[in-house]
Amino acid sequence: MPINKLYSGGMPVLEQALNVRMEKQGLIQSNIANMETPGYSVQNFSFKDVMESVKNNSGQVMRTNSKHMALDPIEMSQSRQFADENRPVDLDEEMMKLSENQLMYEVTARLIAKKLEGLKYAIDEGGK
Amino acid sequence: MDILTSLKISGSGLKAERARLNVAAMNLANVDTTRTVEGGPYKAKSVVFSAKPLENFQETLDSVNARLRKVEVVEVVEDDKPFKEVYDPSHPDANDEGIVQFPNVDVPEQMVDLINARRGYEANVTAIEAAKSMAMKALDIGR
Repeated sequence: MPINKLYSGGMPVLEQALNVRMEKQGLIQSNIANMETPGYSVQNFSFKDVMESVKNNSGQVMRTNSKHMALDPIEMSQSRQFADENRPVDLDEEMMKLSENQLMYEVTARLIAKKLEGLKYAIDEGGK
Repeated sequence: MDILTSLKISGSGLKAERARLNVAAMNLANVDTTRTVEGGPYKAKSVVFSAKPLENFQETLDSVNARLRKVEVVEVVEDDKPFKEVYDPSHPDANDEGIVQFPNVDVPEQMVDLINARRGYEANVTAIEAAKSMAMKALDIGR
């Protein structure tokens, strides 16, 4: 049995969510560091769109032949739709995005920890 | 994208803002300086920021790492505004007509720059705190 089955399948998505949040954090920090650089325009991508592509792709890619390569929905969501807006950095907006992103990262991390905790509980109880 | 990259980006922000703070402090300190090594009164200076891509990213063009930019002070430029002229014949640097040329430092402008640099510094510190707290939370998963 693949080990992922233990986590009821949600784990790779949560893992991907953590990665995407971390990447978004980098862009926000880049925006804050360059808030007064002339010619720099704000960079962003939508977390929702990336995760949407994870959701839409999972389990929906049909293989017509069992020898075809399986497409990993998590791998497929690597492409980011960058929103190229030609405007300078708005510090208030970036600070808001920063705390939102931080909070959501922590929520996701907590979710993963809880999932593992539940698994541990089941193992402990099963061993009794 | 990892925690060290975040620290590098915000660290470059801290460095740049501190350089800007130093230049503003230098301008304020030399607000009445009439003699310099280059000769003539002190000229107000200001920093030029530039967004630089991070070194050694081997990612594809569309990835996030290729889009991250740190900030650097690329040069310090002199202000070419005319000097302030004050009539003071007793001043050792007065010319034949008794006019002394004082630096072209605009004090209110420098104060504003000082406050802006401080705000920018604080914003970068907050970003570092956020990245640090995220890393701590990730460590908590394994606890």
